[in-house]
Amino acid sequence: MNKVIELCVSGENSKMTYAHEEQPDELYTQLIAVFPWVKKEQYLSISTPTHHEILQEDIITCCLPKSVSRVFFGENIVLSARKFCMGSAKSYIRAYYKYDGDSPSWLPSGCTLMFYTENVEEYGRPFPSAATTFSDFYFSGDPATVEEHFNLPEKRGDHTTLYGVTREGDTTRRVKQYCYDESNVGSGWVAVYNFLNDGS
Amino acid sequence: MIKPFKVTKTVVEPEGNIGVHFIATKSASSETNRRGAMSIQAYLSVSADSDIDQEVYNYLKEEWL
Repeated sequence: MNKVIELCVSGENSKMTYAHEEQPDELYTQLIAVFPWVKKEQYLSISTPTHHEILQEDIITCCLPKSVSRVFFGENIVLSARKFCMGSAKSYIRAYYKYDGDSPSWLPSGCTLMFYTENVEEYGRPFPSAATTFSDFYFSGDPATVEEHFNLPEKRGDHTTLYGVTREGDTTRRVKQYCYDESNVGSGWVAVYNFLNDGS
Repeated sequence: MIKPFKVTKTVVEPEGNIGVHFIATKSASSETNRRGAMSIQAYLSVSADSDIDQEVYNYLKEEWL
């Protein structure tokens, strides 16, 4: 059984992510059936398909190496991931950047907004235009506070829990609970943020 | 929009075609299974009335991308 590094829960939807040599061949078989140009050796991770509440189709997410992200998006990029829309056979890249602005009003008190994203079209590849209508934001905070603020069920990892929201205009369209049962390559958001913020 | 290549220089060839110098980058895996970026620099000759970006993309997509 392949080892899961991250469980992401968004309401009734959930996805599991596998990294490096734990990436299951079966998921790539599914992916390549829709996107024949995909090569497993190009990605650091892969997720199970999960329903996207705005795009209204299943999405598989694969993270790209940092060195490639820098070539595409510059030195300020934190991470990038290719999002594969399994129903429409369209795709896009999500670019993750450190958030430097003021705390937005939708953020629960005491939480730290760490990263924001942009969804970007790739030359020559069909792009879901609706992906330009929303952005995702990622933050840390006290789980009880976040659960109460967004009326979420109690879902927490044994090691840590982090959060994401999808904003479309002034509306929060979904809240994602990222659960980590142990420290791993996926759980280090806070360490990355702190390093980018003050080098600590 | 992002492109997996960057046109660095174009020249007009003696017979009128356009010579396109470009760099392309993709994700790749090393012998130790470590993922990283791999780039190539290449030259492509295209007709003067062609869409240079499209020609470079077409050239790359079969084997490289």
